[in-house]
Amino acid sequence: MAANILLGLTLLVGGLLGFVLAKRTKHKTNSHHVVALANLKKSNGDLAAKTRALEAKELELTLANQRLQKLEEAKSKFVAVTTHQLRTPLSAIKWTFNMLQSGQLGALSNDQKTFIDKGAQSTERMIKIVNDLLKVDQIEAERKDYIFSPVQIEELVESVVFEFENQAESKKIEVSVKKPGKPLPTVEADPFKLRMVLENLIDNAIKYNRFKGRVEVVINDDNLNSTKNTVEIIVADTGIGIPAAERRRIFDKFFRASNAVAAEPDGSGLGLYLSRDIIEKHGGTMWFETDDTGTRFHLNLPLHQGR
Amino acid sequence: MATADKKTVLIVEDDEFLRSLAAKRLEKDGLAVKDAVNGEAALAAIKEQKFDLILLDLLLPGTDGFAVLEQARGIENGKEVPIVVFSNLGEKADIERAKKLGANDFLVKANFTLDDIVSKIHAYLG
Repeated sequence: MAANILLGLTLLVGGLLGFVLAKRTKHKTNSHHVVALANLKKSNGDLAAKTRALEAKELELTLANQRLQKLEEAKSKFVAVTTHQLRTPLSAIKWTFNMLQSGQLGALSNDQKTFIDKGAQSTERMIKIVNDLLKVDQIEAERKDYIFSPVQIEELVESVVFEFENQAESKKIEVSVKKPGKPLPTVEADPFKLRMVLENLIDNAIKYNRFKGRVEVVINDDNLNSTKNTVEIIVADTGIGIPAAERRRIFDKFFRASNAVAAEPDGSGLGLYLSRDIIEKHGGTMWFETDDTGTRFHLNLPLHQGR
Repeated sequence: MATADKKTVLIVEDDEFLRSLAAKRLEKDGLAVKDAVNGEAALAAIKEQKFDLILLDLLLPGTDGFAVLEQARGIENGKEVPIVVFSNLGEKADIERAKKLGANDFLVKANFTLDDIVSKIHAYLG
């Protein structure tokens, strides 16, 4: 009997407990759903807001990009117009000095001659800077306009070296070309731009060389049939080298090494910057080794353009 | 050389100072010089007279140098005359365009001294 009552009580308590628990759980589940739903709604809202924000950002970026392009075009136009306009007064100054120097306007005293020569030199410097600025602008504008065709590297190198015969001779510098025994296959390149690079490197190699120094242009086919499939051109000089502290900056726009400035005050510091840009546009690489016995610039050009 | 046998060069240049400098330099070298300050004047001069050489600027008010080139080759006196463009334009496209229109040579003014230009002229005059 007591056991029955106990059982009954237990059941009752258990039932009550179960009911309460069940009710609580049920209540808990309900509130869970509500919270989850609210959260979902909230994150949906967040998502929509985020999407709107992203769309706004995208529009903003597109507009910014358009503005940049316009700015780039304006800059390019500005450079072209100013440089052309600078050239006219510069021509006038240059021609005037030239008339005076060549004695067309009468004989000059030694003092007059010295000052006029200095004036003429400064004018030349400025003309060179203007020309280089135009060149940079043109090259930057023409970035997309590379016209690739098969180029015979040996022929190109030899014709550029030929161009510099007189300049080398005046400094008693011996320029030689070393090429592989058998002819190279043609390289897909923009011959006009590649010529500019070689002209720049050979010009530097002569300009910053010692009296009676040497310049050697080596065409190297070691990597020709490897996975790289590149042709290498090395322009080596016996010149003054690039100071250690300045090597890192040598390809920077407008940077000139201190010993280069000392040797040759004229110069814009754009040659190497443009050269590396051109080589990279060919999918190639350009680097150098240097010490106080000379500098060797390496150009590696892939045989084909991967497009 | 008798004065009458002097070779005559037409200088087409709108900048007064450059024009007078070039004229003076050429005259010092024994050349006869006529000048024109714009394209219209240049074409009128070519119609009137046969020149031994024309020095032609490109950026001119009104009829520019490109138009002068094009039209000069259609004028009897202008068919054969050597035309040396001297301009401060000098981009590849400008050079190609001028040559296509019949320019014999293209000199960027700022890159040449008058001495250079005179020796260029003599090379054409023989």
